[in-house]
Amino acid sequence: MAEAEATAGRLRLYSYWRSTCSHRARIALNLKGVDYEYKAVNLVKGEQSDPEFVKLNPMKFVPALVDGDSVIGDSYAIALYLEDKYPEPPLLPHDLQKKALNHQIAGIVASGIQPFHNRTVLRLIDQKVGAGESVLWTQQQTERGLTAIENLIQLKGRAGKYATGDEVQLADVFLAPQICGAIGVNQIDMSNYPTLARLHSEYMAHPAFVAALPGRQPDAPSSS
Amino acid sequence: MAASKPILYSAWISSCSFRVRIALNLKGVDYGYRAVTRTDLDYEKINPIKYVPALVDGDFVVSDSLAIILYLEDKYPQHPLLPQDLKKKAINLQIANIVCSSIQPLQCYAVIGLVDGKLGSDESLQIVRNYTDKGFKAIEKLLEGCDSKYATGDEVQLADVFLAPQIHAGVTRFQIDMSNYPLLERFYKAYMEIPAFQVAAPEKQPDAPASPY
Repeated sequence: MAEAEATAGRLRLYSYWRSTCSHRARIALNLKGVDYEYKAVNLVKGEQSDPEFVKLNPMKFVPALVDGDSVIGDSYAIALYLEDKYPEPPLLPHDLQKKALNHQIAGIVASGIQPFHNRTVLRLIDQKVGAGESVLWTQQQTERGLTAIENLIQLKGRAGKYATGDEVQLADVFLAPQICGAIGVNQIDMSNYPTLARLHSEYMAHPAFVAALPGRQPDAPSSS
Repeated sequence: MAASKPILYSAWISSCSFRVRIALNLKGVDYGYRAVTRTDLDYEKINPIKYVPALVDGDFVVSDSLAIILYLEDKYPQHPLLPQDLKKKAINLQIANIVCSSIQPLQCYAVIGLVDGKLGSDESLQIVRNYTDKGFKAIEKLLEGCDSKYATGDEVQLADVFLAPQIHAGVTRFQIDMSNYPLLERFYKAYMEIPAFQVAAPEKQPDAPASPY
């Protein structure tokens, strides 16, 4: 593709401003200080079904990261790819238990919460089960997941400035977009989650996280 | 001092538990099996966040199958499940995540919905099949042209550990037509010849009922 040659050497991220999964990838890239080209995929307009994009990611999901001839169409895989390719600053600790805690928190977000507010899922549930069922289900799953994470962080007693210590780690990369979404979209009452609410204010003060915010992306609707 | 063996809290039918059982077997890790049911109130004392499976290693508890397996990958480096090559590693993680984030959670939702009476059996099955077919179709496409024994090579890797239980559930419980997915069908046949996978199968677990399906 001529387009690919023109930007050879520079990573390209296919992203939608509001997608929490894309948001994770943006945070990871920013934390690693990696310059990348932003390619918007408008999910509302169905651009994820464009044949060129489907070739890149047959799941028709964002984000997708293109690095030369490597295409990675999953935010978790992207985060760990960046972790290997750009070791500084590290997002995973050496300590196995702390590392496992990071994966566990990321896992609750990626498998336990986000799948239930994915756009296609919401449409399917409303169609098959009943209009409005998806809203209640999303809130229940979000609250269940956030409660689990809040309890887990408190139980493990490893939180510092961030979720698992005083350095930003993988758990924070996954948590920040989920909390943003919970506040902005799902109207979750964060007073039930004091640790997560505190983490949110830390993320909002960190440049890498701020630059990754949905509203800051090239495809975000401009505020009037 | 001999270290005590890890304990796996597992449910026979849980594909998430199946993944961890495979990984433990592949790495030759001896473990204790504790069956957990959805209504098990004592389990909360072991794992306050109540998710299954959970691995208890000494005084350390970890749940979430991917987190557990990546922990095992570090602690027991034998039979590595992730290749060194970054591109191959990424495809393994992508496939694992399609399974654990885009197929299994929706299957779980549909099954629980049925059990709780929120979904009819047709609706439930339709949801499972919709998400299974979407995921399997995408993985088949991602691996187009694959001529290796398993998904990403001639050794079993992370993608295989996640694929096997999902295909097994599709075949035994949800009437997925695997002839639509020739690669996945071929891999599945190869997986079920491996003792580590056979011994981990749901119907072989201590808590499996006499007539499992």
